[in-house]
Amino acid sequence: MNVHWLRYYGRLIGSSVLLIFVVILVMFLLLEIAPGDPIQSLVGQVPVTEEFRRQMTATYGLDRPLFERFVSYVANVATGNLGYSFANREPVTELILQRLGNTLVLTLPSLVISSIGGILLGTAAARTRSKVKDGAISFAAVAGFSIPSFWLALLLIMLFAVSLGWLPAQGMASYGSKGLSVPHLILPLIALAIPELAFKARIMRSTMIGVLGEDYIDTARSKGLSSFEILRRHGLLNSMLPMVSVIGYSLGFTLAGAVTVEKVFGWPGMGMLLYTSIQTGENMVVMGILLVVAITVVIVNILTDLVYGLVDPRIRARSRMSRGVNV
Amino acid sequence: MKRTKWMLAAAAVALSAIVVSGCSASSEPSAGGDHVFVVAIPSNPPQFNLGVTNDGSATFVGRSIFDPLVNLNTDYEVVPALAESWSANADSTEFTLNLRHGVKWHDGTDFTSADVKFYFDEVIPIHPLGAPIAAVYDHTSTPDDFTVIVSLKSPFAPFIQALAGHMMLPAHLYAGTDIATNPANLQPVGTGPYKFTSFTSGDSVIVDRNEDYWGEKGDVDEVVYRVMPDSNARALAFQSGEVDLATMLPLNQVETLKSDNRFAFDSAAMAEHLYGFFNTASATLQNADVRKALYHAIDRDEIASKVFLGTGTPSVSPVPNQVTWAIDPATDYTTEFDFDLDEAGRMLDAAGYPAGADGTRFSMNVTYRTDNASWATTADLIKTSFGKIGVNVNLVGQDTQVFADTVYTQHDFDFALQSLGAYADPSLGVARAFICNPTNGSYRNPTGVCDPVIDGAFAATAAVSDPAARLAAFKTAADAVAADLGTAPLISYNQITAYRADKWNGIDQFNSTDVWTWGALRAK
Repeated sequence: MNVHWLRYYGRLIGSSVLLIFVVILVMFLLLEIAPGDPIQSLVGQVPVTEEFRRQMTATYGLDRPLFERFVSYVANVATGNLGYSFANREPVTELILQRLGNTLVLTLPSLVISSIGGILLGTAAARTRSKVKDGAISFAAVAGFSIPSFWLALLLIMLFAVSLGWLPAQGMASYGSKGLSVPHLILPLIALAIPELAFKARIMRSTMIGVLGEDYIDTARSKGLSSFEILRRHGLLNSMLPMVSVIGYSLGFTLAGAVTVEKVFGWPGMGMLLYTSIQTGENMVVMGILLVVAITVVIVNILTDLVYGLVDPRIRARSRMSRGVNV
Repeated sequence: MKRTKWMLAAAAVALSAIVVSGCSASSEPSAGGDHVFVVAIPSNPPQFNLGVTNDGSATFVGRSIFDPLVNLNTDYEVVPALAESWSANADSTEFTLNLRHGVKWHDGTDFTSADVKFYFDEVIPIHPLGAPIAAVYDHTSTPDDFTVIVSLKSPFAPFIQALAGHMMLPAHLYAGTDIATNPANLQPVGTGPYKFTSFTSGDSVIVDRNEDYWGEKGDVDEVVYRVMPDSNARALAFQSGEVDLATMLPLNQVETLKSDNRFAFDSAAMAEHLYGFFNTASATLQNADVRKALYHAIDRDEIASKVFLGTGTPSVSPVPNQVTWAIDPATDYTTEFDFDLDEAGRMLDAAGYPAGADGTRFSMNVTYRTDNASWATTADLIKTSFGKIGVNVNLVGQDTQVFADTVYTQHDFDFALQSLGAYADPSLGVARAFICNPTNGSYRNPTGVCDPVIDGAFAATAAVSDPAARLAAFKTAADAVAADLGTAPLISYNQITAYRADKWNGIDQFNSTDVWTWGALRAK
């Protein structure tokens, strides 16, 4: 790794930190002007007594000016403190960490399944000569991508939990048991993975069709490689480039999709925490979760950039040539 | 066969992703006996101290952990709980409560008059439903461990009824602390039939039977409250058999579930009232005749049948129809303000709003909450009906938080739909929708109507204990409301509770009061 690369990644990280700061600023202001009264939601849908409102405002410093609260929030975030949750009576960082694991057991497998499934399905659609097969896969992909996940989730529950009775409808594990059970995972995983899988299959199909039309594929064929070998060595590897970015970006979509899926399945993850916190006007928690998601997406994008450079010799070469370095 | 191998490898990776994510599974049933009762709660409870929250899910859980001093039966009659008996002086300013002997908190400490005194002194002023008592409360004296004498500054007849909403808290854990942030709010200690065992935020609350409970013990060894935020999914989970009791189900789902004989349905005890609030600051609606005309133009029979599917009835007075003792037979808004579009049109003509060339008189907003599909359908029916008399309606659907802000704080609405609970006594839960609200408090009257006659009449309903005198005061209030009509009572209904009739006996008695009667619940 040379000076140029250090400078490149230095700039990337610098702009990412700036981006996070802007995210905090914009979210802070948006939540500030959003209607909602945390003290009211603490009490429920009955009048708040003046005495209680006075006590809570004093306890949580809600009467401090906006700028003062913003500065102290940013200072706290820099030290890893995301504030305090009113309703849950817990530091936001701890609250999120408790739920993060539950969300990851849902989103990471979903990411893996949708990526592998999307690549396989997209490739199958690209190389098949059967119009029917290609059409069927493409149609399924558009449908899968267009189905709202809450609706898909409800249909899955109706079919597999209510009608067939094979799988549980709600939660991470049976009542009264701790941890996670695989049967509980299956339906939410399907509901979360299908739209992503469909999207990736469509990208993969069009990329693969492009790649298979390249000259080097003809060259490989004329060398006498089997069509499967051509696909594996030349087709897949070259099609992976756009897929690397798509997979990187899709983490953000998967985390967003988890909000709906977790709500429908009563899955105690970060998405459900976000949903509840928006409903109850718990701005500190909403800020915290959005910040964790924003930071995750930024980090993954930096990693995607790194991986890109690693898997594609052309990018490395191009950047060297642009500086007049001998290749 | 390189190709198959490759495909197999991919499949193996995908499969291991599932297995790895599931490997932390340790299905270890928690301690508890044979009979587990699963209750679906609609949201994650913020905490369990019912002294500082009226959150629905917290109330569900708190009802099995805490006890009130008195309870109400289905006929709204007061029955003993932690207080075995009580008496009042002649002018309802001093109440003597005789406490049950031998009751212990779940941590083994004795329940005494000191707990009750602490509750009146410290909790009532900040309690969400404490205002009516706090307004008249003077002091409490405790001659001995089991006698409590509460003195009021002015007469308050429904004092004993008002106590039914108040769950006693342990003074030895709360005295001298910040009640709203006390750690015991998440590790509740009560005197009730179930002891708190665990809370997994966002997932479940588990309580186990209190073997030392002073009252009758039921068959249920362990109650699991499961957080199920999606109402449709909640109904499906109930249908699939994962849940023994669920509430706040979509009414159309309830209709579907009714055909299954495993399930039964029961109305919750508390009367709910759907109100329409007119904003009297709006240029058009400041005219009481316009408001009355629009009330005539709402087909409440249609709303009762199409939206509430027969579980609600058009309200005849400010007090919900279920509370019959507080409704004078001479009061009947369904005849006084019957559905009559012609009459409504004539009234609007007379009020100076004739139909224009295109048939339109004026436009207005109807604001409703989107958290329950029933309100959207109700607003839709009102829009159609108002349209027929030339009143254009813009529907404004809002999230609970936004609704509270626009309607109660900003007053940025024309007509708003809101459902409020009546609580143990109409002087407690009903009056707030009609009396003056100068501080713009949420879940109170947002119409801007500040009528001394209405305020005086509702105050009178609370100041006397003689039933005939109270009825007369409610009549005065009903007449004053009808004269001005800021708040229009629309539909009286009860929440529907769905339960497994094939697994449990006695749920009707179990569900009949403000506090669940666990002793009545028997496994089949």
